Amino acid sequence: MFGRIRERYREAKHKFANVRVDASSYGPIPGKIKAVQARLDEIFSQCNDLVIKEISCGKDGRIKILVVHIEGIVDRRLLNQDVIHPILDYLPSVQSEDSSSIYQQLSKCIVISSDIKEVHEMWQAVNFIVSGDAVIFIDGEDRALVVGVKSPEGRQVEEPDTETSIRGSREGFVENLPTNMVLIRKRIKNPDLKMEIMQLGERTKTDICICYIKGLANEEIVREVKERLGKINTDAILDTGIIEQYIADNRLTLFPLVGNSEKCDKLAGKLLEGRVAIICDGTPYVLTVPYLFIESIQATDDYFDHAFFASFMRLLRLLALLTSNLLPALYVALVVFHHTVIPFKLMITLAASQQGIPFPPFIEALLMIIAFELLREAGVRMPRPIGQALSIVGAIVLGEASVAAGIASNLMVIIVAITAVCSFVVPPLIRATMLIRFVFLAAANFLGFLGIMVAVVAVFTHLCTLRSFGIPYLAPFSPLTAHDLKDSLIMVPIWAMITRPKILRQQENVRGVKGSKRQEVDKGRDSQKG
Amino acid sequence: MNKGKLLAIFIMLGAMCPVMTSCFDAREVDDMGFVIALGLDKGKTNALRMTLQIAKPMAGDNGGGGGKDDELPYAQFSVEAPAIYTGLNMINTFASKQISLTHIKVVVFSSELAREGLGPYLRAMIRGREFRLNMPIVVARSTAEEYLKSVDPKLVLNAAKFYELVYQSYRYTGLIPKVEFHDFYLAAESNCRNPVAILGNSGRFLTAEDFDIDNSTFREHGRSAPFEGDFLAGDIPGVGGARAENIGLAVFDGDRMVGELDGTDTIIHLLCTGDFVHSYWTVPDPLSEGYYVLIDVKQSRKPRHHVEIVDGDPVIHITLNLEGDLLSVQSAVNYEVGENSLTLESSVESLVKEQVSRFLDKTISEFKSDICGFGQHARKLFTTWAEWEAYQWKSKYKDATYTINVNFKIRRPGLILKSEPSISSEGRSDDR
Repeated sequence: MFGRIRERYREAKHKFANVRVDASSYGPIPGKIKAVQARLDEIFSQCNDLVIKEISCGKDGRIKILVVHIEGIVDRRLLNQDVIHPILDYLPSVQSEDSSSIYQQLSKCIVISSDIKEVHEMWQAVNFIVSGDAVIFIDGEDRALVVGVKSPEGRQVEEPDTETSIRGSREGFVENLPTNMVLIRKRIKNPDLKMEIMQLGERTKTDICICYIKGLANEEIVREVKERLGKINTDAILDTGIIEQYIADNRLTLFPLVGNSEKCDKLAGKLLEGRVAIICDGTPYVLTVPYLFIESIQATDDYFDHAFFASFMRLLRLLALLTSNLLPALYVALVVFHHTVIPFKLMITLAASQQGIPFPPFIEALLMIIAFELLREAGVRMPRPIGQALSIVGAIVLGEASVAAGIASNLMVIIVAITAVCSFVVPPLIRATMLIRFVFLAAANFLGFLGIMVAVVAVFTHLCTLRSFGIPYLAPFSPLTAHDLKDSLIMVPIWAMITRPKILRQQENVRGVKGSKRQEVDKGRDSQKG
Repeated sequence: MNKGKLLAIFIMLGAMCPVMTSCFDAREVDDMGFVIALGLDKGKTNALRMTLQIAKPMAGDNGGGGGKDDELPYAQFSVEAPAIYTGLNMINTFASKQISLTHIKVVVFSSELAREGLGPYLRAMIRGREFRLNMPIVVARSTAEEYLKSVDPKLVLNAAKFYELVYQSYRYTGLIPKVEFHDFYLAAESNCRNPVAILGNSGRFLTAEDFDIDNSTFREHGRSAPFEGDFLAGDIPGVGGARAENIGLAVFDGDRMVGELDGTDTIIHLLCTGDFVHSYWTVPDPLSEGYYVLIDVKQSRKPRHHVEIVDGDPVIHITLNLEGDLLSVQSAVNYEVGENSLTLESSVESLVKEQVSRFLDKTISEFKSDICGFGQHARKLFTTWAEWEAYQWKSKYKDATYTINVNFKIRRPGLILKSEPSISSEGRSDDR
């Protein structure tokens, strides 16, 4: 069976290698405008959205210029104002026969855009055309001018639906890469904020931006990110989710090894801690690496609120995480094996509620959990207007009817409900929890508490082996880094958090100066007076 | 079908087996019959008659799924068998659910069985992992079967809850001893102390017309009328609630029962062991004859024991430290302040001293059993364990002498700061 899968995989790889576009086959830009046009027609055949505008200029209009762009993705107003108008206005006055001088004039004086590049290869020109720039070919020149007139059109910056917070910025990333870069730059006004752009995806030519703060981010991690991104060899990058799967250290784990966020302030915070961000054109989800387990139970709000509340909320999230993983398993273990530890009064009730149920507790739990997961998935997939129908069906079927029909006991409904609520408290781990819960459940049904313990140890061992870009996943707990515990389960106030987490091995570790809290400042002033 | 596919199917089926079947000793709660009380009597046809109370499953809110109002929340089974585990096997032949002892709340022995010695049963129970180590041990003066039958918990819907609460009442009445099975076993095996058990019985009276105090022990205590503790289980003139009464303690010597003590003596026993928490005491008014003072007595600190060996015989020194809050002064004597309060305190002190010395005399000369565990304080006088064993404390206890020192303080007068006699048309009540 596995042999066949391997075989198919090999076939697919082979096929894929054949269809890959060989970029260099386009060759250099031909010197003759006719040849250029022919090449473009060939490359963009059946692309009716390609616009080629021909302008004659020079002495007797002998030198032809082609302005090539794709309809719709260029900003029409910008194109007219910066390129077409100046050319039409000024070129008739240029009476040169020399194409290179026309080229010089075009690039230096006439085209007013601030974003002008020069390309020599046909494939480069084609790349710019498809990504929304206008390219100007001049007869007799084996180079072309690229004018950046990409349309900034897209969704407005708005609060992301997936990550809401009570305090903090409401701005979320959008699908447009430049906008996203601006959103970050607006928060960190510093030339040390580096944004390196590269293209990924043989066919999609997706722009990827690697973003980090020089001096804070560990150079090795930045290098590693670039290296891993460079190794991605695929024809399509549609979302950061695809990049995430390519660059994660361990591709078989259920746990997220790369963080993602839609929130600008969160991302800025991560960058300032020394993390590296990967922004991808066409998706509002920005990746951050390295990603540690503890980040799953941290929230942006924590840093904007008093440390007491933040610490309490973090402990609560940890509790919810454990509950959502272990509660059904513990219940099954208790009911099936460990009657001794149930308080007697509860057990009498338990026995009564179990009496009419035809299934063993394990199957009962399995049914209810799967029913819940189905509802959740349906809630995500279905068209919004019919949401209400689903919630009614879910509430009645899961809550009432299953108990009334004797398929599940009252207690099991409560257990599954608590499990479900708890699983939503820690969003980054929802998917991991969903699957691991079944492992715990099966272990509990097989060996009771012992089985749960074995499974817990196995999961923890697995967590300990994980690394995200070389950083141990369970840091700062394993390896124990006392220095970094200040921002783990118990959070110290922000004025005491004057150093960055050590585990990320930044070059510059100090965030602020000791004594910037108000009382301390006052104290300092008093002692000076004295 | 090729080999790989077949193999994969077998692996999958194999992997599913443990998940679908679970472990061999898995039992669901509703497959088990949970015993809440176990009674052991001498059998008619065999060594033992076992009585089991098995809880009926009941849903949370309708007040006992097993029970309408007149239906008991448990089912009672009896069987005669040579030993405990044999009896469980036999009961399983006619009880539909598998019997589990993991939630057992109490074990009741009949006094007949207890007087013969509980060793065989205690050893079976301590070895079996199902018996809880913290359950109380009760000795029923008549039969355990009758005692369990008379548990008809009117106040709590759940019999298990009844047992849990009723054997904790030593904390606020002092009328039953504090007994845990584990401690009972250790004391029975120990060479420096003897165990006690809660004395229980089903009540003698069915209606208030039948009340009498013929069996009360008040005369022993030198009183003209019985106080709250002057009864043995079953003799309390009272009806209502569960007919099973628990008052007093069963005195053991090793694993054999040698006697019974009433509720008053049980309070003293708790005082001497330091397990006393608080209870209401009735004290004859020292300044106004025929009236009583009611005091809520607590231990202000644990009792101090000091044991000496003089001429080979033990001499025991006990210091009891008590304090009390006034609950009721019937005579309206102003006990809240000054001389009066000192008088009351010394009166209580002498009363306690008298009761303790009567109690100790009884344990020394009548029962010859060190149920207060004074031996534990004597051990330190010996340098080696062999010497201590050679001394044979339990047999020397009958020759023990003692001194008692009681400190009693009135702490709070309650909500009345100064007692005043009531005034009627005939004048103040204390002038009359």
